[in-house]
Amino acid sequence: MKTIPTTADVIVIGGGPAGSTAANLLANYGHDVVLLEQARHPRPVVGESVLPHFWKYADALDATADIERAGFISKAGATGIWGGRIRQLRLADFGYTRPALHVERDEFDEILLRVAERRGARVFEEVGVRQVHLDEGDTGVTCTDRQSGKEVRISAPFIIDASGQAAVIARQLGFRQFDKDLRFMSTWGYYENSDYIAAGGAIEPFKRRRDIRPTTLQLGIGDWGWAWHIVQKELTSVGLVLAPAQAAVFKASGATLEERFANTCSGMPVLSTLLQNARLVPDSVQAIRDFAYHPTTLSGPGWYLTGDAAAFVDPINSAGVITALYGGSAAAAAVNASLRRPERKTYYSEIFSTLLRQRLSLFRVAALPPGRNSYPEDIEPAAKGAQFDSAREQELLYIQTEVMNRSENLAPIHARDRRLNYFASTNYRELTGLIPRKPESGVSPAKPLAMT
Amino acid sequence: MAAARRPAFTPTPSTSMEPSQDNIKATIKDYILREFLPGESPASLDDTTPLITGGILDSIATVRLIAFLEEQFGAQIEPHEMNADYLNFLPDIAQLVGQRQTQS
Repeated sequence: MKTIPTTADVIVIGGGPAGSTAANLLANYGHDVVLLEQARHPRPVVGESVLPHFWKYADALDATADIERAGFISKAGATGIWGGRIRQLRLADFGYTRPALHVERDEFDEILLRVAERRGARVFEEVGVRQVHLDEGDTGVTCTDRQSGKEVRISAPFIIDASGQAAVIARQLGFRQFDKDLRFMSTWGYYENSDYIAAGGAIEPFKRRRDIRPTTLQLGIGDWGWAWHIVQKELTSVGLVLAPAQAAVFKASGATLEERFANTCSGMPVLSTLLQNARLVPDSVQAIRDFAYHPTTLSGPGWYLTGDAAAFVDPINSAGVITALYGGSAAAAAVNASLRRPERKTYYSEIFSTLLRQRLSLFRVAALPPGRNSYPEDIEPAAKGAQFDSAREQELLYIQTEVMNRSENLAPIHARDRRLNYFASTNYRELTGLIPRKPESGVSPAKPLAMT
Repeated sequence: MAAARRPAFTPTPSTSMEPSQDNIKATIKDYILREFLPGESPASLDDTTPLITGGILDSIATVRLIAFLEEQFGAQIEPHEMNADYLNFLPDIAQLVGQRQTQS
């Protein structure tokens, strides 16, 4: 059994995508990295749609071959059903040559963790961080090895908190803050044998998912809520993001969480059609509420927050995994520079904080329910962050928000910087109605839309 | 603080110890080609190539670039300058580096 060391150059808390990315890159730079993960991988986690520009991070992590080998489902694009309109974006229209994926996150996250280990990070699973020590000159963590019950104090000049919703440092220092505009609940479950929507709008049976790529389906519920439908290797992830009033309706829709979930899904147009021959996997339904946090402090002398431990927004733009990979990479770049020039660590911590805030602000503003923004100060950093996206990524974000009926969110950003490639694309298609399935399937065509 | 002003008639002293603006620019260009445009011909990167808005430097690459500028030239780019207003073109970066060297 590996022994937890008492010193390191960097301690990474959490073995999700953000933590594995930071640990991977720093170990590869030659630093002594200890990663502490409280669970044992593979462990369940939701958030399964990944955009195609994630491959540049996979390449940098040397994880590309491992991810390709896993055979995740490639997606063709996204179908948005909002305000009575059905629109679709196809990634091929944007010139992407590498696929976007629907990933099983337990498997995807484990791949990234094992690759980090292969590149030299020292990974310890089932180790919980009890306390973080942040006094200058005496930084480190106290952690507990769950198997032996042994407590260990590790000293390191740099700590990267990638602990996800646990948000170890932000909670310890008391600056974690709910996002006023995104006080949603979310509930999700997994279906066997769900049909899906392909590019062009045809409804296809689950068994064809490897031959005809599915789209990520997103359906608006009222003004602010929405549902997702994500076809994976063996199951289909279906979830709801509900505003408080909708959460109250949801609560009254059945006796158990599973019943409420199944009833709500089968009561929604289009989604109910796709689920006609599907079966909800028992005990697969989960729920969380108030999961969105606004970024307050993102770093300090010797410590960095990244991934969901830094902030979290409505996952409507499939940006969660990429934002985690980004934050992990930015933390690694800043910590690497700081380890080379320790006298400049405050400077690099500020650089990191500035850049991550820009990125988080951009994805927050893009994801907002239309017409809301309690933090107008997010616009300026969002515009700065958007500059760093390629013209294609800018256009894709615009089309994503258009399909999800909230492209007006980008208007104040565009007003700050007219160079941004927003509001000038024809790369999405309006679908006048879902194409009915083949008559021989014996199932009636999709019902006309009646979203409320 | 700016460097002390020299009388206009004094010939510029030899700058053999300090890299000239052109040398700075060439060094930065080499670095960007090597790190972020591997396999591209040097001709593909000139004074008018937009680095940030042209997708050559994403923000992770920009962190690495400024760490390089600091190690190589001792020049510090401020956090609020980490964007296309300051770092989008090679001559702009070289000029900023040149100014920061004089100041230090």
